Amino acid sequence: MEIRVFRYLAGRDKEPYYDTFRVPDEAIREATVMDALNYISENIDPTLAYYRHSACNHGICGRCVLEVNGKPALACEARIDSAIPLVLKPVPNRGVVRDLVAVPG
Amino acid sequence: MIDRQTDILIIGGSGAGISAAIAAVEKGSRVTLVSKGRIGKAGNVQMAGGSFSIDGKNAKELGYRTANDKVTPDVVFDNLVKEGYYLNDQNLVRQFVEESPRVAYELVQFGEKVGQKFAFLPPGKWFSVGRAWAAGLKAAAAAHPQIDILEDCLITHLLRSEKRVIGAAGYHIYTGEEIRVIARAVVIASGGYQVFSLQNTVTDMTGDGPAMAYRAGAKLADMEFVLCFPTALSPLRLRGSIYPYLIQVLMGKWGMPPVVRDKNGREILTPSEVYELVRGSKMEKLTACYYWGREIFAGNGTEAGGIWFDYSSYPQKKREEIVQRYIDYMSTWHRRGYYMGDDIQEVYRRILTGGYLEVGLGCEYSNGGIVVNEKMETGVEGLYAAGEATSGVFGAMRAGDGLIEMLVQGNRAGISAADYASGSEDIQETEIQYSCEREAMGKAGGADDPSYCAGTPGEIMEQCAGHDGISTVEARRKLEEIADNGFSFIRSGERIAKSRKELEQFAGQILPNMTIKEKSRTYNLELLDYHAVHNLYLCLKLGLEAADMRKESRGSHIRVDFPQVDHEHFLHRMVFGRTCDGHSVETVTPPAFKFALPKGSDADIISYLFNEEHNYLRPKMR
Ligand SMILES: Cc1cc2nc3c(=O)[nH]c(=O)nc-3n(C[C@H](O)[C@H](O)[C@H](O)COP(=O)(O)OP(=O)(O)OC[C@H]3O[C@@H](n4cnc5c(N)ncnc54)[C@H](O)[C@@H]3O)c2cc1C
Ligand code: FES
Repeated sequence: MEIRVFRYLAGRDKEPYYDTFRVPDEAIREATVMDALNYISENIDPTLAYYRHSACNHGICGRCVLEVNGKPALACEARIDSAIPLVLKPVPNRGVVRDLVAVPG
Repeated sequence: MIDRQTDILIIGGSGAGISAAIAAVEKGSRVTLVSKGRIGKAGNVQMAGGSFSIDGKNAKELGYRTANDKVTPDVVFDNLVKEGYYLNDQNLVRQFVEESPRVAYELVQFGEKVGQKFAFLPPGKWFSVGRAWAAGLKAAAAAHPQIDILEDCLITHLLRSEKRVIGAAGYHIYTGEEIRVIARAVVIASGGYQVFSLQNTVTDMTGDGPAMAYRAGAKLADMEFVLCFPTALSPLRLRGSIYPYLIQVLMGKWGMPPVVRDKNGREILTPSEVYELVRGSKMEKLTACYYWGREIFAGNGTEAGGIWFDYSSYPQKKREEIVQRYIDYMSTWHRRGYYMGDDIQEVYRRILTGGYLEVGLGCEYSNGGIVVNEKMETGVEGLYAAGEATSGVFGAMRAGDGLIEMLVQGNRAGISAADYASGSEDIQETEIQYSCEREAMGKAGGADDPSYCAGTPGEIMEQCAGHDGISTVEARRKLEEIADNGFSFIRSGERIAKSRKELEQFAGQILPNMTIKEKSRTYNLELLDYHAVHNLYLCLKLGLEAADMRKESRGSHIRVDFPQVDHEHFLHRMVFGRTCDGHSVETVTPPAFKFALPKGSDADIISYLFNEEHNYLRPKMR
């Protein structure tokens, strides 16, 4: 499936843009958005920034929040449905650190 | 640059770190605490799913009427040493037992004050959930506002002069800004290492503390012992959840343990007398590794490397009743149908309809780490360590609570560091110069890992810019593969040797050529993984070497080629220290003050438990 991901770094990028990553369906069957981001990071683009440095992966810490198809969600809990296109953005109103990472709330 | 000068620097912001910080400020020291994650949300505390315990006698004295006061501190001590296969440092065990009632009770009170729930169960146990302990710790930290806290910051290396450790350096993960903290004493409280692909731990468990302490001259021991326990393998979204452990233990307690099956549906039996012996204790984790792990090792596991939990042989009515009871019980801490944030309704549905659950053995805890004494001194002047980053209290099997270890040792490290700092000489400008200008020990990887430089983000990125290898992110996955193959819950000489060889190739080809493509320091995961890979590499390297040398089985080090527990030849800890051309390994007999160490051998880790000479008391603890 295709995943569109918001990319931006203040001071370097004039404005945000989107990258589209093609992730094999079998790699993310019954997976979460976090699984997909890990797949992209390990196999396609290690420069992608998303919350991962102290991540519980089970909806405990609440720190991996981002916007999935326009709605705020935890990356480690949001489920992927390969039939529905996926667009990922940082949560609004907090300021972007880089890519999907927002200024910690 | 964030530049601080203080009395005590604490590295790690979870249970051990916060306990140390509180103890030190209460003694009047100035404290800076630096944590990779955020207070209350970092470290493995939040992952905890079970309980922590003290002896029943003290619990009764604290007013818990259902406590079983026959389980005295002495009984707890006996069990910890015997279940640690006598490899424990008995001085640390004594401290653990004696100091646990006060620190555990304090944390429960902090937790309860902020609305968290703890269920008291005999003999002296509080059952709860990670979030509750984490919230208690956060409240305890908040009650001491004089602690200077830096969150989301990675400490990469210790600063040391010729004589002593004088602080540490690192950077802010979000901004890449450099950090330097000069301190009279440093406490490492950064938790353990997790080097396998199946992860039930928080992602900040990369062995940073043990690795940086070792580079600065401290000793590491027991690196061959890690503890694995039932962890979900599938579906992918639940992978890493420890719900299987909880249903195994709780439903088991209510008379419905899972029937465990291999990939062909064949039942994997745990002998009933063994199950009776270990039921409800941490030793159930060990027997899972032993009985299920050996089948997985022999190739009878599922494709993902696990076994199946099957409940279909229980009558429908019983399944309904037990599932309902489980959901009701857990609803004190979890939304109905959820475990932590994970929706596990599918799990209940499968139990009720006779479907299977795929369960693996995920590493929960690393016994190995920094060698400390009862004052939490490391042998390097000015350097202390506490919690899972240390080694010794649990010996070869973590039969006691990691949460108690972190509280007892954190508290003690804070007190010792404060005492030391108040009497130590001022840090001289020349010492800081020495540490910053020279390739000070502590910063460079040394002969064990010559390509490592725990420099500033700028230095590392410059170094990696000219490389043409794989990314640090990909390298981390490769390292996990090597660990999965040879260092896992069941081992053999052949697989250990193969992994050691692969690790050597990894060190020769991958480590020195890893790339960091992203040029910005801002939230740079490649930069973060640069440190993770090198630190985990070091832990795995020493772990595999110790596992290779330990030609016996003991506690959670289980070898198919050497099943016997060989007290005659291996009742010693393997202690690693850095040298100019690599490292030394010393074999050290653990200090025993209460009872003598056993002689001879036991046929395997299970017969050990039934050997009357050891007079194993666990069953008397219930
Ligand atoms: C799934 C699971 C369930 C568990 N269940 C239980 C249970 O029921 N009962 C029990 O007693 N134990 C349990 N444990 C074990 C227990 O959680 C740990 O032993 C305990 O959390 C260790 O405490 P600690 O303070 O030493 O380290 P941690 O809690 O792991 O904290 C480490 C801290 O150091 C920080 N850090 C790491 N590296 C750096 C660095 N380089 N610079 C700065 N900061 C750094 C981290 O961000 C974190 O703040 C469980 C563990 C797991 C994984
Ligand atoms: S990583 Fe903790 S909630 Fe998602």
